[in-house]
Formats: sequence, C-alpha cells, structure tokens
Amino acid sequence: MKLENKMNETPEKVFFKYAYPCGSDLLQLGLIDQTDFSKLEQYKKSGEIPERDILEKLYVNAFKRIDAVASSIGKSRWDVDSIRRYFLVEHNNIIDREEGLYKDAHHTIKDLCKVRIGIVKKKESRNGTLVYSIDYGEHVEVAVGNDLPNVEIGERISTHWGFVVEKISDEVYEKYGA
Amino acid sequence: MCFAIPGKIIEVDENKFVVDYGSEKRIVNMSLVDVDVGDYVVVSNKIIITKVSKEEAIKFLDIIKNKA
Repeated sequence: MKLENKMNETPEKVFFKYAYPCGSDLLQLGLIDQTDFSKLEQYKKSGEIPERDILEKLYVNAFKRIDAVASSIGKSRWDVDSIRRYFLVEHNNIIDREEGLYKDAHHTIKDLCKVRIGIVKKKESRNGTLVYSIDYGEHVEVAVGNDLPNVEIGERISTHWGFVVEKISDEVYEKYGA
Repeated sequence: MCFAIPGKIIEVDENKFVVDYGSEKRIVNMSLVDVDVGDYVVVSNKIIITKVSKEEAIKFLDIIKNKA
C-alpha cells in the first residue's frame, strides 16, 4: 500500500467504509432506528467519518466480534489490522460457519453479506452512479458506489453488500485475502 | 453482522420501484438487476441489489417472523 494511502487511513475510516453498506440492514432488523440510519446516511453524503463512540453505539455486534479478533492478535479494537482482519476474514468465516440466522439464509443473501475481493472488469455510469462488473473468480457480478472514482479496469477491489469498498493492494491481499 | 430481509416488488414505474415489506413500503430508485412486479428482492441503501426466489424469500421471512 502506498505511504500516502496509509497516512490517510484511520481505523474509523476503514471501519465505516466496510460497515456502512450494512446500515440499511440494521434498520430493517430493528437494531438501529430511522434517526440513527439517517445520521449514517448524512455522514456518508458529507464524506465525514463518525466518531468512535457513534460507531460503537450503532454497530454493537460488529465490535463484539472485532474485540475477539483484536484479542487474538494482541491489538485493540481500534487498530486497522483488527478491523480489516474482521471484515476480510472473520466476518466471512461467521457466515461460512452458518452462525445464527445464517443457518437458514439463502446462499444469495449469504454471498452478499460476505466481504468479497474481485477484479474490476467493466465500469460505467448509470444515472450518476458508478456501476462495476466484478470478477470474483467463479462468476461476475455487478457492484455500485461512487467511493472509488479512480479505480481502473483490472484493479483488485473489495465489495460488501453490492457496494465497492476499497482498492486492495498486493500487501493487503497477501495478508488477508489470498 | 449484516442481514437483509427480502421485500416484494408491488409497483414498477420506469426507474421507481415500490417494495413491500409487510409492515411498510419503500420506494427504490435503482436496480442492479432486471426485476418485475412480484419479484422478491434484497435492497440495500435504496438500491435493489439482487433477486431472491419466491420460495426462498418466503421461507426466510417465515423463519425471521417466528424468531422475532
């Protein structure tokens, strides 16, 4: 990862970009209310990142899991390594183990819940929204999002819930995704 | 942990889709897949992400309802 990118990277930023796509799910499940969801949308729209206490309040379950990951690697919950390891590794393991409601979930839903890494095959704009075709190896699916305007065809990115999340450097891929 | 509850499309008007969740209806302005009235879909952040078969959607909705 380029030094410039690393310097711009904060744990809050990494957490929010992976967790944001789940916001509407938390609302649907009644885990957060409309006011909280609107706050998340407002943060996303403005490009601001919520403070730690707000993220911890809204994503209670995620932080319980991150704490377990952090503890296993001797780091804090607010370490970028703990957060990325949770989303890129443990989050998917939970789904593969079919914990809780995942046991009864359709594979379409389980696949969407996973944080996946793929290669950008196509990129186009539809009504002002960037739409990407992502090659996940076994199949190609579409994903959306305006957060990675500079990503090019052939680059490796992560997605969550059909949204593009971040470019995945060779270093990150080797550490968590290979 | 993330999850989504499938909803049923009850109205399609060009780029506007009305999705019924039983207790409420939501308007969605974009779909990543071809959909029609009667389809069960998963919506995230006001975008239809994918379709789920009717059988699977109803089965999952029953499970959620019974666990609530």
